Amino acid sequence: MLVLSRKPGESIKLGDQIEVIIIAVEGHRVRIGVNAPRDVRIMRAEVDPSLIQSNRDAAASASKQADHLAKAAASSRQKLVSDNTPKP
Amino acid sequence: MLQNEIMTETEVESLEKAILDRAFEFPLGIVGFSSFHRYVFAQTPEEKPFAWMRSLDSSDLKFAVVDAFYLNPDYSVYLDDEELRIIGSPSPMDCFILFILRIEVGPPFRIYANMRAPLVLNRQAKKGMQCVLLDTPYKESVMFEFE
Repeated sequence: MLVLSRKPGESIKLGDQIEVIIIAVEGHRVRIGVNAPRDVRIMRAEVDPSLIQSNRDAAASASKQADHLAKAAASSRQKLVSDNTPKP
Repeated sequence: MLQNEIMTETEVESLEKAILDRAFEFPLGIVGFSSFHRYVFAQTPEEKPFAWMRSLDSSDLKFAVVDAFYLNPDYSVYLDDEELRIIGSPSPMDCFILFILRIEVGPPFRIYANMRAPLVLNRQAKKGMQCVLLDTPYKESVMFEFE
């Protein structure tokens, strides 16, 4: 891990194509700009780890449950016992 | 010398083209699997309404998916201009929304749907992306339990 210090208006480059710009510091928040190619997904890091894990768990369960998708379909036509869909 | 096993160049190219013509391109991939961009959908009649989203770039990778509105008729998602552009600026008629599922056979039998990061597909351009929703009441793991 590289740790360094920058002032507002300064920036950091990651490789040739990604630039992180420190725009301003406002109290405890830092405003950051990111220039990156269109095929690079930019996300807030706190969202990232749990979504990666969720996708990986889904992929792992898919490969274990390959035979069960048909059973899943049949079951889903039966009575829905509970769901915790939030109602917005 | 291989006889039956050897195809003509034309046969190989036409088989490759056939599958690629059915594939959806995910320019950003799926979160956590960002280097895999091409997926096809497959299902047997018994598996409906669920389907497999299978990677063409990684042989064992697949996701169980379902149309979002099948599980949650009230579901809605807002896409900003950049997200729409990534999937080729679809009209609303061309948009389809899927949830990635995790299945637990139990018993009890349960499905967990990721409603916080739906897949949005442009059927016309054959492009898709996983949209990460911020400021949403929906969770990554919404449970449905069936009898």
